[in-house]
Amino acid sequence: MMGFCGLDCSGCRCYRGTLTSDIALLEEVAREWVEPERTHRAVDMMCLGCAQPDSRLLPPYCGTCSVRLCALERKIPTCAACPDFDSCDRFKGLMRFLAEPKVESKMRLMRAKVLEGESR
Amino acid sequence: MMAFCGLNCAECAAYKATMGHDVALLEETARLWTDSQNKYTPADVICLGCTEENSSLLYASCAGCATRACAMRKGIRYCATCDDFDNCSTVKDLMKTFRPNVLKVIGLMRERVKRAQGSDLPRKKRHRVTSGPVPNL
Repeated sequence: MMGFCGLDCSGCRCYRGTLTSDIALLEEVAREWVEPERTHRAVDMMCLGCAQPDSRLLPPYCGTCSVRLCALERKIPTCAACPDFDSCDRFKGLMRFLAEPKVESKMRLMRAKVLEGESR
Repeated sequence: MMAFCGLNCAECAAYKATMGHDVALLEETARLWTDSQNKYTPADVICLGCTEENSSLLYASCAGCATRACAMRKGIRYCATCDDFDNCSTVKDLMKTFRPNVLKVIGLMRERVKRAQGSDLPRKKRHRVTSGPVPNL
């Protein structure tokens, strides 16, 4: 299942751990995800994927992702379908943060495909 | 894909065989699930998953599931987020058949929902995208 930004939730241990009821995997991610001001538990890692609208069922990071909230508000299936895609600082900021050039390239291809479809 | 009740359709042979176009698995599943009271053909175990609205495209037992019917009627995606969950005998009866770890995940979902009650956290406290280490999920 692809997130609005282009990341694949199915490749994430939080999503996989939840869908396959693998509590040990959720505990493992919780242990590894160390932040200065907080510790995490399995309950914090539980995730049903970016595309479902209930933010309570996502981990703290994805549940508050401004790119996701923007896409939900705009009711678009992916950022690549957004008319503001090319000039969106929010999306660009997320891509810089994620440092996943393949995801960004894929999204640019998807955007080109959307524009091609719109010009027909 | 998680069903309303918390089970994962992607772990079920009927759903896997249907999505994977695996006719041999449909035949085997029909044979395995047939007992003295229920006789199944491969067509009977075709299943597009619990959230599919057309019940005729679900495995018969899931098509008639009272929990699924209730969630669809209420417009609720997951029973664990329903206000009536704690007192719901329909879903509790169904959950008696679940593996312990599935029950644990449902418990985690309940904990999240209860934690968020009364707070508007996701909208008010947006995560700022900054540079820094990316959690390796």
